[in-house]
Amino acid sequence: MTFLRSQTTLLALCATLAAQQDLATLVEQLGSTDHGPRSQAYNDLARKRDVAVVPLLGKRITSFPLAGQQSGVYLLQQQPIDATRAIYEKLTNADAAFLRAAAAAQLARNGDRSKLPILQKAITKATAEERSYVLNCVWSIEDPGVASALRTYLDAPGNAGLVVSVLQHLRPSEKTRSPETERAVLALLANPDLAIRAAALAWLAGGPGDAHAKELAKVLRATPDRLWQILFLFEADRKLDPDLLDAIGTAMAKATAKHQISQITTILRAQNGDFAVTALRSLLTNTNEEVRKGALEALATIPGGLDQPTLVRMLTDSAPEQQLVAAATLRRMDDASGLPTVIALAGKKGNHLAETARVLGGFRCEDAVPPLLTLLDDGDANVRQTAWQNLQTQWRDLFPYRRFDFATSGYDPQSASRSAGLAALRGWWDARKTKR
Amino acid sequence: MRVALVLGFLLASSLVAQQPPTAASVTEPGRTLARPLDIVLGGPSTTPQERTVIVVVDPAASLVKAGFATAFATAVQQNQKQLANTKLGLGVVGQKGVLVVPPTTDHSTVLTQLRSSLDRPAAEFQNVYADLRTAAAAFPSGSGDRVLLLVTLENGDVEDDVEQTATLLRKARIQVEVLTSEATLADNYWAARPDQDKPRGTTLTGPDTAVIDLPWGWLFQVRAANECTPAGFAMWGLTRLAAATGGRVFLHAEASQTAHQCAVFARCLFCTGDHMPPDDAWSNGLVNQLGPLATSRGDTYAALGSDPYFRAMVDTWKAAAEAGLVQSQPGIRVTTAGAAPDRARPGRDLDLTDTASFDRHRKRAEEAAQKAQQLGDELQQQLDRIDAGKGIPREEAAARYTRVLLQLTRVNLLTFAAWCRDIAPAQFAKNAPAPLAPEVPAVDGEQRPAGIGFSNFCLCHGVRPFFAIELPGGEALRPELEKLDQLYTTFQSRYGKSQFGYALRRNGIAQFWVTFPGIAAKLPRNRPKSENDQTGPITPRRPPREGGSSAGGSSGPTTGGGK
Repeated sequence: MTFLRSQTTLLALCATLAAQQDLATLVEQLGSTDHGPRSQAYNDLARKRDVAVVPLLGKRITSFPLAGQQSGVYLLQQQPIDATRAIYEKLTNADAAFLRAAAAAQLARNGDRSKLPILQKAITKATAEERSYVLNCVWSIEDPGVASALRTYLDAPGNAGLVVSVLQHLRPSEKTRSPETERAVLALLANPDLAIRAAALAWLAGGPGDAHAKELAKVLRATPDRLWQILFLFEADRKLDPDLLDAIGTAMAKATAKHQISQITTILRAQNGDFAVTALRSLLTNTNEEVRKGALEALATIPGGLDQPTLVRMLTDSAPEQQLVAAATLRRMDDASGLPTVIALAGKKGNHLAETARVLGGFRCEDAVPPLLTLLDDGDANVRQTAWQNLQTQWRDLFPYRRFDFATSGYDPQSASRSAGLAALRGWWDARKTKR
Repeated sequence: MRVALVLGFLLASSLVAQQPPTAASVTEPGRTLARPLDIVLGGPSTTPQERTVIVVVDPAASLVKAGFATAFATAVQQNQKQLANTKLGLGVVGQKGVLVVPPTTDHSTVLTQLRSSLDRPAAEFQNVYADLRTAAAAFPSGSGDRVLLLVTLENGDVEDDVEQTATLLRKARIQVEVLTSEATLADNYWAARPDQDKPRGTTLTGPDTAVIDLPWGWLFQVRAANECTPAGFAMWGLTRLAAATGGRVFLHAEASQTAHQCAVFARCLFCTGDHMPPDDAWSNGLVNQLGPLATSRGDTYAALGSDPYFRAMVDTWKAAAEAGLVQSQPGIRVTTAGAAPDRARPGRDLDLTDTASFDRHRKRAEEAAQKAQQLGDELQQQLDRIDAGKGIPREEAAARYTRVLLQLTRVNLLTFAAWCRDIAPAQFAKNAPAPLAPEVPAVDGEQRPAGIGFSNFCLCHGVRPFFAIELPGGEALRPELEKLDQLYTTFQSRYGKSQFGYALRRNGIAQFWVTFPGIAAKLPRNRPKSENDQTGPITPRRPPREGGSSAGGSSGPTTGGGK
């Protein structure tokens, strides 16, 4: 018996040592100059979230290249402050300004404001290469000294990305624009790099008649792609010149991804809701399908963006994706007239089925259930997964006085053998009316 | 023909003249800080005029967060020309003697002192009315307009002799401009909590009206709609000061308070937070029509006492309270001569949830449901007898709201009775057959029930969608739901785009469950005074309204007194 117990202890010890060795290897890889192994090691370590990584990083992080140092900092931030405080204290004396900044910032965020002077100094001492890394570690720190140190980056900016990043960081701590930042941004207008000038103009852009806004409008008309980089420099509470708004609306048509449409919509809505609706409606006939869909979805989020007659018309004379958006939007407006269209789409083959399952799940009525049950047996795992998630929510809402444990049905959308589970679910659905 | 027209005009004019002023006549559109400061500091003329403006600031944390000091500095800078002959003074609520900067033409002193005062926000209750009376004495004698700008986002509900304050300020020729947050519709929060400590000599009130004119505490509603429905107007005391002195009320709210959320203290069965209600945008005209009286409390009693809708509603409210359908009695009684304040008493407690005696509860609930029907029918008959246009529009809305709530309460009582009869006992029945997968028993193990809990499914999507939901009572409940749907739809078609439509949607169909010993928790109170700020987008305190801003679009966000 004693022998068995010591065998078990030994095995456990071996396993622990092996895991430790595994962690140590990954931490070593984190210091690689090669992006592939470094990135793989970071992902593995981030997934493990093992606190045992802390002392290993403490020993090695200072010898890593800059990208590895940043990964190491992110991994340390995953751990509780009590487990990492000593290492941060040590790193505030590191040679690399980035490490000093990251450590001081994390300690300051956790209440130790005495580290703010170290952070300020590290920011100003950071090399050109370190600056963008430093900007990634000063989030949520609002301190005039830190703001002042960050502002020095505007004196000789390497690229527009850095300028945008600095201005975004300064915004929370400078609710009212500081004259110092304004002076620094005005100086950027003389920069030969058009991208930097565009960022400066976006920050300065003001109301009707504003010269900076008009200048930026010209830049955007000539090079609409610039918009994506400077998008977050427009402030919702600052009214923009109509000319600039028009240029932003025009540039929106050059978007390539749905999320870009939604980002611009946020800005335009804050400026002028009617203008946003008009601009979005003009995109409904755009040649890019992503843009059309993004516009439709954005319009659907705006009260009055899509009127009921338009939506009802779209149920019959548009592509499946648009029909689904129309049906879902009508449902959100307490109009279930799109349900038959969605049910019909559930029976047709195509790329729209996952979205169909999602839209069906939004309806709280018996008619929406059978097609969802059918989609649980679709050949596409993504469709099955979406149908499964939506069916659960739908049933819990349709039957609020019943309690479900859907795992007991035996259905698994990822499994190849789903028939028994499906039969259980269909059996319950068919029997429900006789049950109570 | 011409004579008839003139007579008609005179008659109409006399009728209009008889209508007492409402809060709509003094409440300005918009919800920003910039506009009121620009209007008040800029004054009535573009040329500099001799004026004295004393700003009395209640330094609450919300005011600091809103960036008041910066907004004020900007407004002073932008109106430099108009302020050339204006003496600015600063008072801080809660400071001894109130005044921290006597009226001066050195405006920078005021700005510096304002920033420093807001560095130390106050969290406790403040008696702004007493401080206003003190501040009134600080105006220098001499010619020129006298304006007192009261900025208080949180303490309008700490009332202290409003009428005396108004009279004093009016006699001193001081025009009171108020910048404050929006009240909740007929707010009952403090009425439901009479034991709250408060500054000496004050009364905690808070509704937009001089008296609570909407029944609150309906049976099986988790939280009164009166506590979370934005009124569209300020608290009565502040509105009254502005109305009595020829001033105005400006409301302030954060931009993050506009997103629609179906339910505050309830669950929505019909969406996942993406609802776009067709009547989400309010009609300014309707909101103003339903505005509360801005008259003195005494005049308000007189006006309400002679209003047929109010009288019908209060009688029903009292009867409903005695029947246990609503947990409050009206704080006002109507007599043949008019109306008078009454001691607020709780309604009868039907004792339906403290034990697990399901059969006894069922019988009581069925009796109460019968009473709800009777009172609803009687109220309907009274309302049908009142000639159209004869009465105060707000009180008509309140009476019709009461009618719908009686039917909603009847539905909830019938649901409860059916649950007590069919569902709850079955959960504890021995040898009950196991449900088919994926359904599982509602109750685990051998636990014995101790009582009954309930929550609400919100009515934001209306009543009709509930036809598809499996509720206790099944088909037998359907006619009652249909009747509720008809009443709800009729009410919302008229009042949907107003504070009263919003209030109705804040009620819900109840869901019941058994409770077990040791499972109890207090609901949080979200209110401007509390510190439970949310970091993300928060509950709408009221929807945006159309036509309120100078841009002709939505007037933007507004607050309610509570979340």
